[in-house]
Amino acid sequence: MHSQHLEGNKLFDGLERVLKHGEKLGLDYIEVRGEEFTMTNIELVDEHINYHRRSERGFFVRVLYKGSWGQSCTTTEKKLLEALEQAYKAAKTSPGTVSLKEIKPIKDNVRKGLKIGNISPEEKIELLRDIRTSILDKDKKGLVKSTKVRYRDKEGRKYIMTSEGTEISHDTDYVWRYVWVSGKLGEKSQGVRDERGDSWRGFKVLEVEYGPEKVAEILIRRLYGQLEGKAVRPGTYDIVVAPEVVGVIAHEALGHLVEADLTMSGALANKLGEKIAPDHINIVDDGRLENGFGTEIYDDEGVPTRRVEIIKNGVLTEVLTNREYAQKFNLKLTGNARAEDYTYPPIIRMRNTFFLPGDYSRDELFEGIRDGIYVVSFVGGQADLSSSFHVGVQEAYYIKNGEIMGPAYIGAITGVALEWLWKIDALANDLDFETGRCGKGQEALVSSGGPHIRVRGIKLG
Amino acid sequence: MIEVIDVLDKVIKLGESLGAEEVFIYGKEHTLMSYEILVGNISSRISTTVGAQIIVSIGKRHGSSYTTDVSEEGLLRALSDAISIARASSEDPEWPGVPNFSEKYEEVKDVEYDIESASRAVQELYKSLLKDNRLVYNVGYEGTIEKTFIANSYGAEIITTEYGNGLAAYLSVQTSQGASPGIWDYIVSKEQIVDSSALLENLEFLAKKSRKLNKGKRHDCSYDLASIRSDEYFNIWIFTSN
Repeated sequence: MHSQHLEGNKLFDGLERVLKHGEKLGLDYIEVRGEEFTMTNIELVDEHINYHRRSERGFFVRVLYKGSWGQSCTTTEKKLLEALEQAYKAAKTSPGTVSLKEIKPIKDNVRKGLKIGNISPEEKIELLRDIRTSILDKDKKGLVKSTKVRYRDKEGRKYIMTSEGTEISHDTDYVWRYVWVSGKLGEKSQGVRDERGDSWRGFKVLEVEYGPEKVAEILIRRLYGQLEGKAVRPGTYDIVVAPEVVGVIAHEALGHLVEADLTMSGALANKLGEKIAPDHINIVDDGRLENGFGTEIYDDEGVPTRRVEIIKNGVLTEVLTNREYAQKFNLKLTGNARAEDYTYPPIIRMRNTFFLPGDYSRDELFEGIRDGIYVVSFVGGQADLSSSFHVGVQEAYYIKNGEIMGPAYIGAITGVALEWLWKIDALANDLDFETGRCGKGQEALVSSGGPHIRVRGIKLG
Repeated sequence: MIEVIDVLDKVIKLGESLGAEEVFIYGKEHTLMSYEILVGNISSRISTTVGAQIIVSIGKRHGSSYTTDVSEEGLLRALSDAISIARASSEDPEWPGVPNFSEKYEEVKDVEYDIESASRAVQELYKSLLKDNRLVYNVGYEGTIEKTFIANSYGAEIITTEYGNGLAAYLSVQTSQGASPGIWDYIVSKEQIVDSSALLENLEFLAKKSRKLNKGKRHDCSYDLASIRSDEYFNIWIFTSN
């Protein structure tokens, strides 16, 4: 079956034994995912540091028997056959109707080469301390009360081998940091955040591109704006929304609606091929976006990732799938089956979800707005399957006669995304992304973003 | 897993010889058995994972390392990691040190869960709940067994077994106003899991009550998904139906 494995992937030898044993049991499909990684977590809360490292190695076995899934996980390679037997036992408990969309099995080996292991613990701690020092240095008004800086990196590889012949290994390296600053002015207290992750370029992104000076400048600006900003009068406004907030709407209020396991129950059920937005609206989930936090070459079922055109010229064109849902609803494969690690089964997740840019310059979006709001950054939010959303705002400004003015305090923006789409009358020709972690029972690294957009007649306050 | 106990003393002594003033080891073997019907899809799983965390103190500096490799070699590697982390960290004046108890006791129980009985219980409950145009979001059973060991530089050596299981259901009902909020309940006793009529009765009561109380739910989709992108990270909960 798999006579010659990819060079350097000795783990495949162990996995192949499992496949052979599974075939003897008469299983219809066997998938073994192995993973080994080292993860560092550091937290600097004011002056106090907590440093933790974890080294893990484990396996997830998933089998299909008479249309029913059985799953098992183990951290002991010697117990892989036992895990297979357990998965078989689990699958036998009930008959099912699951079948998988056919794929062409691939053998590949994807390397990232982030060399996270070369970064010393001292360098990581220094980065966190530099961020805190920069924040305090820039706090000329003395409003900062507390800081929390979190850092995480992961260096590892994952392997997938299936009874169909798929044999893929890829690096799972990434770096990530999160900064929270709280402050007080009089009786008013506020907190602001900044988050950044990178899975293709590495530590230098946090050290240089989004380094301590930059993050401190952003956070102090946000904090002062929140503490000193004048509350927005309730009313209807034309607003300009910056890429970070455009991204969270794309991800939360629209993206989750097109995850096939949720689509059929949401506001977009049975709307494939229908016009749901103006012609100038295009939204994609791009699994191969250059330097995207959610970018991978293959998903955790061994399906190649690609750009998925969710909304094309206003028409709902595609939804995100795994093999099971692609088969169940006769949809195309998109490479969106993702598992957080070896302890989870792959489920349908977004990767890099964003609005495509338009033709306007950013400045043109502000022209003609007499009394509006520029919404720049968010903190917290929620959405539901009707596409209703509520997004907390941590940075916003007044727009007066086309000019960006002083900070505005608006708390949150709310709306129904599918209605908002029709109110977007202009998209700028810029494009930017926010990186984050999406939770759907398990965590996934994602990017979201878009250009600046202008939305007409939005109720605020 | 329990055989690991034999090398703990060696790990602690080596840690101390390498400069650690305190060493604390916490290990766990976690066995999970779950059977769930989630929006009509069956998911069934039996898993066993092991891991150990080692925390060391060097004065007011501390370091922590976790490994899934609980062999002697793996534990020594984690120890070495924890020590290098402590050395790289700065002093934490508020560090209270590792837990300094010195008890020794062992409490090992043999517990087994039966996935076939669990699957029957879940399927029966699911079928009973599936009526009146409800959305039964999930019905699931989960059983866990956790064998843990703790050892430290103060002579503590504790081995325990903890176990727990439960059968839970989450659904919502149609009302004249739309969907009810999510109704959720669970049971944990073995007898009730085998015979889930008490859970069914309680869920029916809640469904009836919910139908009366719920007014003005505005969504018209078949069920809601709530998603929070908190200050920490994206998060999603799926909770009610319509």
